[in-house]
Amino acid sequence: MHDVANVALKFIDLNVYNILFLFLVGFIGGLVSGFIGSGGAFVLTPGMMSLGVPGTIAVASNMCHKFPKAMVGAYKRFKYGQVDLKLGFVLAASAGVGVQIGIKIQRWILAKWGPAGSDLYVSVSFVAVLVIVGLYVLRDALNISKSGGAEKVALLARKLQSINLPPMITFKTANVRISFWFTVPVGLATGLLAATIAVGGFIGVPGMIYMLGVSGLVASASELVVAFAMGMGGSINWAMHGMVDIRLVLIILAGSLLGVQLGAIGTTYVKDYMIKMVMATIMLIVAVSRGFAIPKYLKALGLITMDGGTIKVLETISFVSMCFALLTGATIILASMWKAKRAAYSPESLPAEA
Amino acid sequence: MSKLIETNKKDDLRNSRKILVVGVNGLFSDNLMNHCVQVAGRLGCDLAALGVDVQNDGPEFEKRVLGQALKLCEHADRNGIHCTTMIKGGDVAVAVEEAIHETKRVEFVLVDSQAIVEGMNNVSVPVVSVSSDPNHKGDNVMSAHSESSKSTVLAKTAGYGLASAACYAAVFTHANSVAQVFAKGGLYAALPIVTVLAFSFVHGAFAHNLWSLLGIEAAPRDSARKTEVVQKRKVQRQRPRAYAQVNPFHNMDQ
Repeated sequence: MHDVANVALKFIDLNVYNILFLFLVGFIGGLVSGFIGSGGAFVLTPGMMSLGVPGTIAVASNMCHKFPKAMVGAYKRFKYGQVDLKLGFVLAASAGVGVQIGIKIQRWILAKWGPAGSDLYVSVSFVAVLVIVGLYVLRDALNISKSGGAEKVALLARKLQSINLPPMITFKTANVRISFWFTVPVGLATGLLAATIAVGGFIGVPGMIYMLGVSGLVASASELVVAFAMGMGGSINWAMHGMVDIRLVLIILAGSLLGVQLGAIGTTYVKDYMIKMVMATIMLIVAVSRGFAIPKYLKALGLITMDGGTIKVLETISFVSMCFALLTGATIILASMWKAKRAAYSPESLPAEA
Repeated sequence: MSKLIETNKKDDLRNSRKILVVGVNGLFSDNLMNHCVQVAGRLGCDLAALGVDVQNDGPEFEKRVLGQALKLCEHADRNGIHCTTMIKGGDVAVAVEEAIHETKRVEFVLVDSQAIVEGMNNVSVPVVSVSSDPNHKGDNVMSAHSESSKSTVLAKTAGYGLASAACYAAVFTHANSVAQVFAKGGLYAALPIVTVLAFSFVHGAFAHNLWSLLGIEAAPRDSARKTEVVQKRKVQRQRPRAYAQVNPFHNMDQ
């Protein structure tokens, strides 16, 4: 294992272009994570791999930058009164179990159908989950936007909150009292998705909103606590296997700590449904992006025939559209922040006369 | 006498709401200029600056008002507000009323002296005065406070920025050897974990102060943003009625 890491370290040439690329992707990823609670780092693993970093080192280094970033974002949003620590840690506990289940499923698929089967499973999960959840979140965000911007608790959440199944837990900041047993499926699904597509928040945040009845603002902030707890556990595991390239982690962290704080500040300006809007937009574009990657794995499994040139083009489209998803999210965040800041107008004063 | 000076290139007969800013004898105080630009920005109005030549100074007045109006319109322009300038002579109230009719859609008039307001009782739109007292305590305290807090943030940004740069320099001057030691695995796993935590503290503090320095800070908390609460309606329990028994023989002994 250590040899793989050392080979990778020798292999990567950290030139100015690489450093700038990692810093920028880190910044934009951080901005999105600070705003929607997760989803900013999914470009980094393929991004690092495109620079020549082996897959395992890329995954490990990505995770190692994610948990301090989530910690800083959670701290910042905690100061704004948006984080429910109790909710975050309760979900993180079941998410930890979800990660283990996800890893076991992955191993089973890997043993049965090989790497192409595993990749196909990941891509199909990506497309299925992101399309279903993304469309639902988008519809909800559009409805809220049309009805004047007030968030309402989902019907399912109302019903679950009214069921008295001990132990009942009160989450003060989220303003929710619900049975512990209803938090478990949300946590498990978050962990399962995190182990499969590395972005658990795409199911964790909608789960908190539509199953538990938490507002988008508190859900996205509390997701940062879940990401911190899960990421720290995963990073220690990867670091013990010597898979973390500290240089890559620190460069990405330099950008993402700037971005995550800007994203967190952004949540205080925009209307709550904008969090859902950004999340749904990113999810749907990423789903399309992963859709372009599916033919490659189908070909590897011998299910379809396609020439190498087309596969290469589809792979490029997939990566570019993933970057586009992140950029679109960042643009919406910055534009809505700008718009909201204009509304809270404060002009510059006249320069003092000598 | 009426003269329109177009300071911005846009059409001065725009059909937008306006605030009429009056400078008696062509003088617009800094306080008045700052306030009118702030209010216009918040309300989404344009500005119409009116210089009134009360003392009939003629060309001298025109020269003075042009300089002052240019300053006001430049300030407005910097903040994305359209501004036009007018010159009139004679009585302030008459000049203001004429300007209101010529300019159209004037929401209210801003002046910098309460004495001027008192002379404009018959003006058809509200007239508001802005205090231009240079010794106004509130202003001085505010600006001193803002200056000191800005310098504190600047010092913190510089301090954390230097510390962050030093940390990065320490790692990247020996990048390859550091990376190899950190990737040894086992108990060496503590090294990358502790390092990222330390970096996130130093660099995170730098990032926080940098955004503050650039004026990007969280908006004040809005009470309207609270989520809808799902809770059972409390049943109003009937409070037992208190009965006081008055003893009519209470003070009989005294």
